[in-house]
Amino acid sequence: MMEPASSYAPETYLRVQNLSKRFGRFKALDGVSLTMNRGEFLCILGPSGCGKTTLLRAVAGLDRPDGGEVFLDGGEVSHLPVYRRNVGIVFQSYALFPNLTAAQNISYGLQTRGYGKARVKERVEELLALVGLEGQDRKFPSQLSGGQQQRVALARAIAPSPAVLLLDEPLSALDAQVRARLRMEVRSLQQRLELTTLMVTHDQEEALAMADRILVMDRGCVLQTGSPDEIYNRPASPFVASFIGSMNFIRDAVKEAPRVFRKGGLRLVVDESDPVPEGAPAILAIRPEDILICQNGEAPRNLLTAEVSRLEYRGANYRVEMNLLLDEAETSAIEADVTAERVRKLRIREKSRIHIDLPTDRLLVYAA
Amino acid sequence: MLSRPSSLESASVRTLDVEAWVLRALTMLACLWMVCFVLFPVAQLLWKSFLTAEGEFAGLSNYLVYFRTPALSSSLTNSLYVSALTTAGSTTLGFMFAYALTRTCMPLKGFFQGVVMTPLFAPTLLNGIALVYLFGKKGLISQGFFGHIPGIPVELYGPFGIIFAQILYTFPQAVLILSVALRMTDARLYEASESLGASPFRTFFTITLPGIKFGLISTFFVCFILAFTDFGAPKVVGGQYNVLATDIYKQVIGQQNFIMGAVVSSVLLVPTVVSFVVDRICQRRQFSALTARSVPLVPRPSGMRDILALTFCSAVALGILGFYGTALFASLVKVWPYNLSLGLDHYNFSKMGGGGIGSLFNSIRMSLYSAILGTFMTFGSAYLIEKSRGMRALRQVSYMLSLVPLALPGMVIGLSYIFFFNTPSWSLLGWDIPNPFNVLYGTMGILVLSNVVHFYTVSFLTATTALKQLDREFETVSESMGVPFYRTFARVTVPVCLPATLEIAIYYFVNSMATVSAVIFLYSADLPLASVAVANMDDAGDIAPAAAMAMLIVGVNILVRCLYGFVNRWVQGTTQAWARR
Repeated sequence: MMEPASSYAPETYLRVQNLSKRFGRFKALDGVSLTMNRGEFLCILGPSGCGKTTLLRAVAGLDRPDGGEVFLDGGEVSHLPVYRRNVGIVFQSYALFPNLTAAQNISYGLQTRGYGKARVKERVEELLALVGLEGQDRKFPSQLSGGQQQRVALARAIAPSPAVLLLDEPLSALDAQVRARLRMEVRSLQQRLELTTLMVTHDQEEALAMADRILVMDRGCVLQTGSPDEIYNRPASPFVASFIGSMNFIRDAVKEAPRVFRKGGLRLVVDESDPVPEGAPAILAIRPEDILICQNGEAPRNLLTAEVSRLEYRGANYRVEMNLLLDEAETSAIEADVTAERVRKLRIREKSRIHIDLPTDRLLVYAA
Repeated sequence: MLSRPSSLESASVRTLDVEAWVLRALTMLACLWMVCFVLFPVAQLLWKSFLTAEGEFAGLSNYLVYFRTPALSSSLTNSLYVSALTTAGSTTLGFMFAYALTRTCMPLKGFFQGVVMTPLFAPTLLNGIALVYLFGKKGLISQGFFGHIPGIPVELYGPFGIIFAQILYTFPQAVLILSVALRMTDARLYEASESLGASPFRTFFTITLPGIKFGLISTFFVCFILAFTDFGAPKVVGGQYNVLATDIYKQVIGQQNFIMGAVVSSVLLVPTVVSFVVDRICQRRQFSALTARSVPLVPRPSGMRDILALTFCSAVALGILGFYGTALFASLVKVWPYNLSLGLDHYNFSKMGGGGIGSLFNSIRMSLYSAILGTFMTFGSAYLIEKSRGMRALRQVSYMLSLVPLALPGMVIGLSYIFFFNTPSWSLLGWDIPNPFNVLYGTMGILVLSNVVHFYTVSFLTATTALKQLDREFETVSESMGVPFYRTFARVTVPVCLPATLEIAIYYFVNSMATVSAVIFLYSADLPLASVAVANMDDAGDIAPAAAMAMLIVGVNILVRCLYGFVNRWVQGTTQAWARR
């Protein structure tokens, strides 16, 4: 794949430093900092009430934070009202003006910026083409589908060529199929226009699919920042691990030796070194899709025996719920995603006793 | 952290943004307007009730005089008595009518809905006048249709007449509120009840009645307030039976005893304000009862029930039409009941006192101005309160103040405006503050202002409801694109809310045409009004011309209402095209 030719070298374009905001006794933002490069797509991901929308509104200048600074393109904008920050915003509800046509909605912000009539028309047509709404210019929002409305809202936000595009859960009002398609469209549009984009979402799939980088928030704090790959494969904490995708946790393990952990009769080896001191408790974690089902004769390093308690069919694969046999009396629940083909081939059923492998390079270690 | 004075300094300069300050100033003005024309006049009125005629502080002595004079204090019990009976009658009938309209499959629903609203177009004086022609000494029913059948003599003047007229007056309101309450229900509750095998009887008492609980309470209090503060009906058919509203009029106009007028006004205000507060609490709960996911209830045909409903509604509709028909007939008859040939003699007002036909044109002019100013003020304030940001406390105070006029009887507004606008200056701590509004006294201005305030709350709430339906982020989107607020207001907010503003305007017009209570204190001899002329001609015993003038008011209102219908249809067709799919 070819990298899109970029005229800009990566540079810090947006910088947020130490933002804090309280609503009464509730800390919505607790010293949040972030940086964004020009043309980057950053996703703020977190459960509802984690402060992500507050952060977006503070960056936009819609709400004043109690403390902290925002820098845009090298200058401080902390005290500028929203319309002096040159940001484009798409809201969850789109907030399209119902009595104006698609074209009138898109041109709404252009007329006050001293665009001439001809230029406005030209720009509107350009944008309609860009979001794939040619010929829909005279329709009112109520005559457009949800996905089309979303595109009008996007076109309206980017019409005045904003420095930063802010998206507040822009796809959450759509049904699943439209959402999946628009996800790709928004992303490719963002890449083509090299729009520096900050999106807020609680949908982890959306964040993984669209973002260059993801910033995970909870309770007003940043928990982890990194590429989707880093966030998914190397979550910084059990919270991040469980919030994104599913994750098995093996709690109450004890570190026996470097890279060796014990729980009951289990002995587990990991590849990577970790900061847990020897003899201290630790939490081991592994994603369901990383667990391997072993056939007779295989002898990986973390070979375990488990009894299948339930099979849940999910089309392409099965979610296999099972109990690890720790020792005579104790068991520990664990889930694996196994392709349907393999389940059939190995004749896995409820109550089957199987051997599984927790690959040493997929096991994560957290201090308990 | 290092302090950076330079950035702080520039920040304060930057936030000095003209637009934001204009919005702030306007919001403050909206609040000031309510303080000036609602709070201050009423406070002054209440204050006057504690003063002697010479302006000395008198403490509670005026109230002692009031309660020690049986002729005065008996009015309070009279008022409570007729209002309670009116409320009971109106709520019962209103419930039956609203139930028939919303929960049955009877035919002619649109017709019934229209007929039941007729009383809203008429001055309440007309209800009294029509009663005189029906149950008076030479009345249609008391004389048995001009002697064709045995008559039923009725003691019209007194509680019977007042209650009858007021039930008619409050009936449309009861039907309106209860229809809304009965419509706001979740069909799934009824399906659940049915599937659990509950009888219709049990369903009615466990689901229907509890569901409209707050609507019922609201109806109770609204009818009570309307009846308690009504002036028109007791003025015409009250006879020797005194109530508070007529007492204020007698004290002020008859005896020029302004202080006692203020005392009676205060007495009138207490139950009204209490009812108002309870009603507000109930309405708030009513609206939270329904979620967006509720399924509307669609009534199913049921032979017996639908026939009963049709019979009842037909009887009520015929009654209302016959009632006003009698008044219309009487206004056209040469000499009731002796010469029943028809003519327009009574519509020639030149020989009458009360200003003649000119008063009708004054009324139309006043109503038009009230509609324009009222719509502007209510919609503007609602916009500022609902859509501007910052100054939360001030906006909340403004909102509360905007609700106050609903609790103010017209008589109280009228009398307090006499005091307020007639004061040449106020002395405060030795300073003389000249009254800038004094010039309005006796002009069209004071009449229009009193109407704008009198019918403020309902219009304000209509505007607020319409504005609440707009996306909260419209203003934010515009702001983020650097579009000034007034541009979005003109291009989006007003066009989208056009149907609501028209509704407000028509409400103002119709009510301003029909009202007597506030303006009867405020009109001047060179600016007579039609509704006041009705009262004065009736006073002088010229009942037929009074009926004629009242009919003209109803006619103008119906005409304007039809015009509104056409305009509204045009608006829906052209400017609201976006609302259609």
